[in-house]
Amino acid sequence: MGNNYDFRFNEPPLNSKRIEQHKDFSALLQKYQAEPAPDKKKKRPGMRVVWLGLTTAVAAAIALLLIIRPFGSEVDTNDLFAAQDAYFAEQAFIQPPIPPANPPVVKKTMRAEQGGAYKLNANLSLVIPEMAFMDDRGREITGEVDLEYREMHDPIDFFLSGIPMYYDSLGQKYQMESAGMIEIFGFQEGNPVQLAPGKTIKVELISKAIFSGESLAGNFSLFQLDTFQRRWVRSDLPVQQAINYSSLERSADLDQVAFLQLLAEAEADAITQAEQNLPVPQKPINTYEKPASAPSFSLQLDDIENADAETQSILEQEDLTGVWWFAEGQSYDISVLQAGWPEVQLRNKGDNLFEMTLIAGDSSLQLLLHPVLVGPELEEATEAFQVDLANYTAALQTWDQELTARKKNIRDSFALKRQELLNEQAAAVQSKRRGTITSSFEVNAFGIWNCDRLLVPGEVKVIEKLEDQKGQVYQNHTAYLLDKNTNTLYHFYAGKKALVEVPQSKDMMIWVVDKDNKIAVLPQPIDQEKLMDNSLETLQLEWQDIELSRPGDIRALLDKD
Amino acid sequence: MFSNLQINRSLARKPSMGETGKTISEEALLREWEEIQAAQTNMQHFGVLYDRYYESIFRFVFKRTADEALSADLSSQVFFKAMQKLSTYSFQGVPFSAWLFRIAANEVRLYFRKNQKQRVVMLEDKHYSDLIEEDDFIDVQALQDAMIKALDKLKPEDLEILELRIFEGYSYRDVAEILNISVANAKVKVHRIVTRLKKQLNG
Repeated sequence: MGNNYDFRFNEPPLNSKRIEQHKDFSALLQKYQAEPAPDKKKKRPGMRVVWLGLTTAVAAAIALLLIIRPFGSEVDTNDLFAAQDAYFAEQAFIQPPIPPANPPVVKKTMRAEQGGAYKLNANLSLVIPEMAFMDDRGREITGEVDLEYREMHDPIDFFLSGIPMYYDSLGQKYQMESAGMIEIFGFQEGNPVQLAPGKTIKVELISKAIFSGESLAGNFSLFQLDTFQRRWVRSDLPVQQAINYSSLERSADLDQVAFLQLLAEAEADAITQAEQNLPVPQKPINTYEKPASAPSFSLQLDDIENADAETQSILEQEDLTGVWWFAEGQSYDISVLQAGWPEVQLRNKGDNLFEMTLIAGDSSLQLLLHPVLVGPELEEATEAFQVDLANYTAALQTWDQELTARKKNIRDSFALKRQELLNEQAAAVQSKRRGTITSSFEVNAFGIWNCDRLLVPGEVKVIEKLEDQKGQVYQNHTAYLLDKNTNTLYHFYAGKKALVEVPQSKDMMIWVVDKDNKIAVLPQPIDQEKLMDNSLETLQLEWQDIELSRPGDIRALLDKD
Repeated sequence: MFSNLQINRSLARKPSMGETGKTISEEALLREWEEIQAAQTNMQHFGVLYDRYYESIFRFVFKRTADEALSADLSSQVFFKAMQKLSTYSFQGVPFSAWLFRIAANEVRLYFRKNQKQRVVMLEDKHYSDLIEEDDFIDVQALQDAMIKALDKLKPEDLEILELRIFEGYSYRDVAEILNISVANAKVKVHRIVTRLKKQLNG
């Protein structure tokens, strides 16, 4: 034993059965229920969620992961991302920017043991089963229960409620386009209640909103806000949706990014195929020109033994005596030719090209032989080669022109397809469709629930400053961006500089709220092209000296439509 | 006598802190995160995680206490604290067990500090072969004495990191997670301690 530690050598290990005997989760759970976490009582119930769709969600988002942040962009941009993250981390997760205009909570009293179907207003219906509630000890609740709820349908609702509209997938953020959001909690005599295990509330939510002209059906999922983790969590609970206008259907249910990717792949394939279908003319080989490095040699072919009939025939027909040879394109040791080879086979390949196989037992060496020409023969051969070369050059030029033309046709064709798609998108974006979308779903916990789809991230723009007409520069503020063609609200940090995700839109509003609950807003909507323009460094806002406490006033100010 | 003694630091026999010692895939991590979220909603779901990690946590504690009853108490305390803190747990891309082992290491430290008892350090014969070259001639008793003398001089935090990395074979990443330090820091610390230990043994 040491002075400071108790050293033990070769203590016998405990077996698993023995350890198992100490396990008692029930006792542990009882202890925990009697002595929960110190801060647990402060938490609102019903806001924790089970996310069974994580893997699916990650898979769905993975295609977008590489797009949202400009990897490899300037350090400055990364610093701004970091500053933005740090700023929002310090803010309350739900922060109504103008508290007096925060969408109000409505109360509905019901009897827990009866349940019921309630049409709470034109846009919201709930079906609640009997005995649906329990207290925080898991005991069933009877008697009167107060349901407190509110709905958020459009960007102004999202703005006023202060509920963030981005989805965080393992650190990457995606803007969420909503088809309606509901916040619902239950209380009995002021104490929060929870939904009992296995009980669900059926929700039918009708949102009147402007959506882009894309097909909406089937693209939305249900999300629950986890205010402890400060993030939206995708739920596996299904959403049924009905849309009251004829949507612009796309043949395959592909998003734009995937479709463009497929087009690019098809284009590359078509070009490869065009190249394969138009073979390159073969360059004539100057078979008579001996490479400087190739050794030349003569053959003592008259002494060979065991020559086959073809070889004998060649030797009889061709006068190869005294001819010097070189071997084409092969690496060999000249000394092997000097070894006596008892058997030789010759084959005439035409154009003074001979294939020679030297055989000795199991060993063999095959060479393609050219005669080294001299004098008039060389001149004649060179002349013939020059003619072949000229023909080849002409053929190559024709081939090149033909291939270029074919590739151009392919590229033009695909460019047209891309343009058609983009035009369709642009037309869809331009054709604001004001309609209603009815979402039906069931929730298994109280909390904030949202029918959403994730948007492909837009380009990122660095703005030097946001300034109003009085010269007031807005730093350390939350700024908001409304794209009038999508049902969402972007927010960003107006610090020393601002990093703005710019959606593909022709109609955006940007504003900040000052400490007096007054708004400084762009005087006119701005489009993507103008906002992304490098020359635009300052966003010039107009500070509105108007007391804003009523949602209607704020809507009128921001949603000039 | 120990002039040829080599400390072999490539002992990563445990590739991860999963209960089976197998590498935990990203998919498994995500599945486990779902289980954790389920437990965050309803603590009854914590039973799955308790069952999975009880034995490894128990063994971790037992190696430092050599007392079965005490290990049972401290292990329960580890899981109790984990349940209390579970709402603050967020997914960081590392196994949940890392978090549990960190709590366990803290509980062990706390116990010995409160009770002013000597902390147990378990050594096994196989550690000798890990610490010396096989063909060295070594007097085992002399080596044991020398080892005790050298290890006894280590500060508790140095002994702890050496124990995790060299005697128990956790990866540097695991060591870093348990001790809440960076991987680079863990590597540097182990290197320095081992160098110091070698000097003492050679001296």
